[in-house]
Amino acid sequence: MASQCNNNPNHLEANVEETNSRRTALSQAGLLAGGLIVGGSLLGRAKSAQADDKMMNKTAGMMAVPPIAMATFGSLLTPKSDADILNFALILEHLEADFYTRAVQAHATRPYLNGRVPALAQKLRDDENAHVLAIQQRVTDLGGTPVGKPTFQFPSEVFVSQVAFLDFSATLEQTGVGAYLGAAPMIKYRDVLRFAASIYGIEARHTSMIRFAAGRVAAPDALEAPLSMMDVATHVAPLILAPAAGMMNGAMTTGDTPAAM
Amino acid sequence: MSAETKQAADAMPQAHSLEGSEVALPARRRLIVAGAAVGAASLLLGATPMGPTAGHADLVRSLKGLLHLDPIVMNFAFELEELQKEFFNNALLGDAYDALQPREKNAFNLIAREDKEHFETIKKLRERTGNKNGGRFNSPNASSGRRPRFFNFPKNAFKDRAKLFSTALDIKETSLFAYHGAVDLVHKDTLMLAAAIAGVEGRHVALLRELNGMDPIPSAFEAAMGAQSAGAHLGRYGFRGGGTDGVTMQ
Repeated sequence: MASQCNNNPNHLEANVEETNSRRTALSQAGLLAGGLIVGGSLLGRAKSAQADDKMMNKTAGMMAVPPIAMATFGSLLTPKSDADILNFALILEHLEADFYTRAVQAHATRPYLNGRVPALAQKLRDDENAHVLAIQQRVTDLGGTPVGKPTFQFPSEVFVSQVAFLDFSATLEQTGVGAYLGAAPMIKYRDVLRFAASIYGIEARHTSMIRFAAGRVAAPDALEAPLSMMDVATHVAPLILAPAAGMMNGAMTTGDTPAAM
Repeated sequence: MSAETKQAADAMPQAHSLEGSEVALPARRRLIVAGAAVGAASLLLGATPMGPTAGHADLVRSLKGLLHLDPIVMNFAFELEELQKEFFNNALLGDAYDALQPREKNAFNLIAREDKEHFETIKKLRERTGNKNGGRFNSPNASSGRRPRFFNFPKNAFKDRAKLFSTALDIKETSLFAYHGAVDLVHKDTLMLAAAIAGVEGRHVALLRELNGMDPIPSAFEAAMGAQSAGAHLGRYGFRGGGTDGVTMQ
């Protein structure tokens, strides 16, 4: 991600809180790991080395996610339903929609985008807003509750420099593409998979056009690269100023319950 | 490879065999019927008073497992990529290419290179999984210097800029929509590969549309096309992996 503009007036306090949270999380994880080992030996349960490695990796991955991302994504990082996966995607779509909305507004106030880029920015804003609405509807159809929109922060230069805007957009869109691809195998319902794929395809087109507008190779690799949820959360963490209301504890579990689908 | 997989793989269209396109019919039917069966099961279960449940998803997954469509879908994708590879390879040699702007030439070179990579990637996967029957590449004549010409492209496709772009987009978009139409018919590893390719196909489509003065992203959601429709549409280029009925978007 690009360097950050510090829009957070409580930056230092936030860092202290984050450090304390990290320590707490680490100690809790340590206790959890210790408990698992002791409990495992007491019960004499023979777990396979592969399963243990998987758990260790998962725990390590969770610990690597910045606290602000943990507070925002919470239990969505270990999704239990398709609605959870879509809610995870919804946060990313909120992020993209917010970014393009601000960019279009900034350009309207003080033009800084040239050529076809302003039209592209508007197009991307509209597409991302359409994705937000569609995902919210689909989460509701699945019996879940759509997550709210966190408060985001962006580097200030992306709203005054076209080069910075295009570079940042390319990174953002690439993260979206990787997120959808990485989550695809976890989706249970075929309708949901097709729905997610239809958004993923457009995110790939967005990436192509942003890169093309920046004078870069539209498709630098023959295959898209998946990203894990942990990686995505870590990548976007610096862009999150505050989680959505009601998400401060990072707990938001939604289930695929019977509903009109 | 399971017995079912081998049976499905064996039923795939044989490469330019003497029997011609009729050989493809059993595999086509299998793919279409299997897709329809999964869809019907999904719809049926979705229509129950209980609505969709985790059990529903598991059942549809189990059905997909029983049908094991991955080799069939990958054979279809293999021929899609071969078609694209041949088209863009030929494009680089045509008169129309010589008259293109530098950035247009770059785009055609990029697409030709990446379609070749897609083709080689699927080829390796098929070899690794023992799925060597089916696609035309593995026909008795395919590796010889007398390899027959499988695909037919419009007369002026490589001489005229407008025809070059329209044919390129027709092949690219149909292939892209076909990938999206098959996304829920395959399992984890195949899904990841097919989706990773489909994303790049989407980038290619956007690039070609942009260079051709068209809206590169005309919709906020990617369209999907069934294998039967995509195959029928691409039949005009000699594609044999799909069906023969009319073209309808899903």
